[in-house]
Amino acid sequence: MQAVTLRRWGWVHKWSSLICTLFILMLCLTGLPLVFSHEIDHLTGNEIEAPAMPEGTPRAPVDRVAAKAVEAYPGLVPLYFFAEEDAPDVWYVKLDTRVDTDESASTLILSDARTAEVLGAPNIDEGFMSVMYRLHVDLYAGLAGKLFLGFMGLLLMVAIVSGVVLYAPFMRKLRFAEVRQERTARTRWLDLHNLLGIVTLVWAMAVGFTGVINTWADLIFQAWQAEQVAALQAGETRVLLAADADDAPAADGSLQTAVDRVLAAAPGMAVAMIAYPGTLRATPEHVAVILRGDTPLTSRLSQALLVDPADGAVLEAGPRPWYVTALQLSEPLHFGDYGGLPLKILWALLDILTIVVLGSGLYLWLKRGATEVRT
Amino acid sequence: MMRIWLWPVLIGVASTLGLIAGLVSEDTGDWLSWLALAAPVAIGLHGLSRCGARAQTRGGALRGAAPRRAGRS
Repeated sequence: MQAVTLRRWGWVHKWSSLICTLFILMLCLTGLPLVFSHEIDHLTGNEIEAPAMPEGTPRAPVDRVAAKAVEAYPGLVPLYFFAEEDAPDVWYVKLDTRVDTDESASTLILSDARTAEVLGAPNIDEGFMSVMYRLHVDLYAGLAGKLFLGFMGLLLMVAIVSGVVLYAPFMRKLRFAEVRQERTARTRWLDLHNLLGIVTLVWAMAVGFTGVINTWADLIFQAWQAEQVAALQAGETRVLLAADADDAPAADGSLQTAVDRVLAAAPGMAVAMIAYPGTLRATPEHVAVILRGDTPLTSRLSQALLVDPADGAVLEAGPRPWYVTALQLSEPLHFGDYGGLPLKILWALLDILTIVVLGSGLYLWLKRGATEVRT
Repeated sequence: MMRIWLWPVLIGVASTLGLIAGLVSEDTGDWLSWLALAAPVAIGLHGLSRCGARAQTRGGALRGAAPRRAGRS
């Protein structure tokens, strides 16, 4: 590589790193407990669980779950129901003052799917984990904070790519993974920075870039909603179940029947989420039912169907756009929650190695100009 | 070129496969992802531990760290 080219890449690496390092360090540190948030909740007793009941206990209609939730939280309206794959007896219900808020002050509660009773509200607004979460996601600054952290993530991508370019010239005289022990501390940390940087490269790129995509989630859902509404208005929807179809329960205006009709139209799928009309995930007139399959991939790549609770017609407003697919694949790849506890531990270790890369990079810059001790 | 990039590319490919395997398959995929992602972790931690061993001997005047196993018996 030409000396001048090398200098330019060095400049790019130095400045892209310096600008984002402190923020990325903060993200790595706050992300560490977040990887284990499920386990931490479990250990600290913050986990709310549904009481055990005999197998096959019938589930309450979602309308009743919604009514009980509103009863417990007067003045609020339900926005979404979420169901987790490994907790089928629980509905997570998100409530807010209106359906079209930015959800920054929304209330999340857990309801028993069989009795419709409110089980409790996870303590997400206070405590250590809440601080970790807010610092990691939006720096307490809403969408602006998310987009800012996303930009820092993009700078990290630049730092990683330029770091890879610089790797080869630094390694010309060294074997792979060689850390020169007999030189100064700076040389040792330089070798270690290069080694750890190159071995964590793919993971850091994957987690960094999927993190950037996650910061755009709100924008992605807004775009998708606009696209669905446009398709509905243009009459470009696919009818999966006509209003007068006789192989499904007749529409009666209730949410439960609407959901049942969606499930009848999409055999083999399970409900991941129900979004009320007017929320970000639905359209102004339709309930959106987000369905998931049962394979690792289809459980992530959900299918969104729309249903009009009044007439019961089940529609699909066009296939899932590519940018939604990108977001849905970005979630597991960022959280590391798709391979059990061993994967979470590997995630944490790779995170710690990345912290060492960032810290050593900062150290190398602070100690710049320190001349090598002649050996 | 080959000498410099062989190991980084192998580890990169293993990491990529590891990240994807757990997403597309449940049991086998999980095992594959654990094994594949253990590679960068193991190499990284090994490098770190050797560096830590060296750093324990304070002071630049000391010529070279005595390896840990060279304890006088």
